[in-house]
Amino acid sequence: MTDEREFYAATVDEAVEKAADELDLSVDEVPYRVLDEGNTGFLGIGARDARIVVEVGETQEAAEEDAPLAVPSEPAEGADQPEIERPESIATPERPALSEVYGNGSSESEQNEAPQELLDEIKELVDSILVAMGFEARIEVYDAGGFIAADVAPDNTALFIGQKGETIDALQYLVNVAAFKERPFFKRVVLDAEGYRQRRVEAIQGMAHRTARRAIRERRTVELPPMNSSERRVVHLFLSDNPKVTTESEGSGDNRRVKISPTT
Amino acid sequence: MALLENLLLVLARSLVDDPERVEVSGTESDSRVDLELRVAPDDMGRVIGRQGRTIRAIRTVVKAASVKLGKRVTVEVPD
Repeated sequence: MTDEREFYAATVDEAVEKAADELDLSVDEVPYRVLDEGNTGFLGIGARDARIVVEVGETQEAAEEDAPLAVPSEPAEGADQPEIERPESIATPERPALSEVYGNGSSESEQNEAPQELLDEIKELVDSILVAMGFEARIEVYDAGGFIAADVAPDNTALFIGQKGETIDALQYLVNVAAFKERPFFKRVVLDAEGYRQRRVEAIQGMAHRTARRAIRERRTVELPPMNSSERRVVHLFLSDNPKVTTESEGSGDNRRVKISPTT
Repeated sequence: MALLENLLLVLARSLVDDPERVEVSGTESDSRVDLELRVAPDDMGRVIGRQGRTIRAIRTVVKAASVKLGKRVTVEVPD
């Protein structure tokens, strides 16, 4: 079991150096993946930090970061032998971020598998709505631990997702209301298509990161655009381990948004 | 219009306690489709939702399906 940490700096190389420094590794030992290559901009305009994500061994950070929101991990193995994986082995897509966003944070419910009958019912429900909308789609529904995943492969993904995800989010909301109409709420159903949720989480993390930098640089509170609750949660979670800023949601309804302030 | 009427029917039936009493009617012109949704009085809250959240989601989904038809669509729930 490994954990991940993000590092950022002006360039990828500098970010790797920073990671190596903090993790006590030499630069060529850091197992990293590039999230954003960054951009030096033109005369500093439009500059963007490079961001990398590094897999850290269980022993490095997991112990202190073992918040209830984290994906349950196995007990740490020998502390003097951190389990660092080589770069080529980390190409697999990452799901933990989604679990953190959509799970309710209770590992108890993560261990409770959804009954097959519920999964079948959700699949039928999603299928009937998509057919009625005129889509042809393959649908897979399974228990993803912290949430129930409904992965859809529609013939028209752009239309299924909609502008800023408005269609997929509306469908997800309706499916959740309908699925738990006659039974107590169990786990959130998360609709997804072609990895949209993961991409969206990463895009919001990037925006949160850049906005936090700006708040620190300009020594003032900066607001993000209005977001729904799961997207705001992405921001709060992502910036919670950045001691230089604090986050707070403000406004109501469709206008609720996160404010990022430098720590005073 | 039949597609949109049927979609609204499918959505509403999945949300209410009394699916038998879900009725959808509509009028269509060159540029628009106006749909009306009727449910049992006890199910009004189910299709409207807290702060109108459910009916908003229904409208968004119906609107997405109407893109192919190239028409504006409205969904009303008369009380």
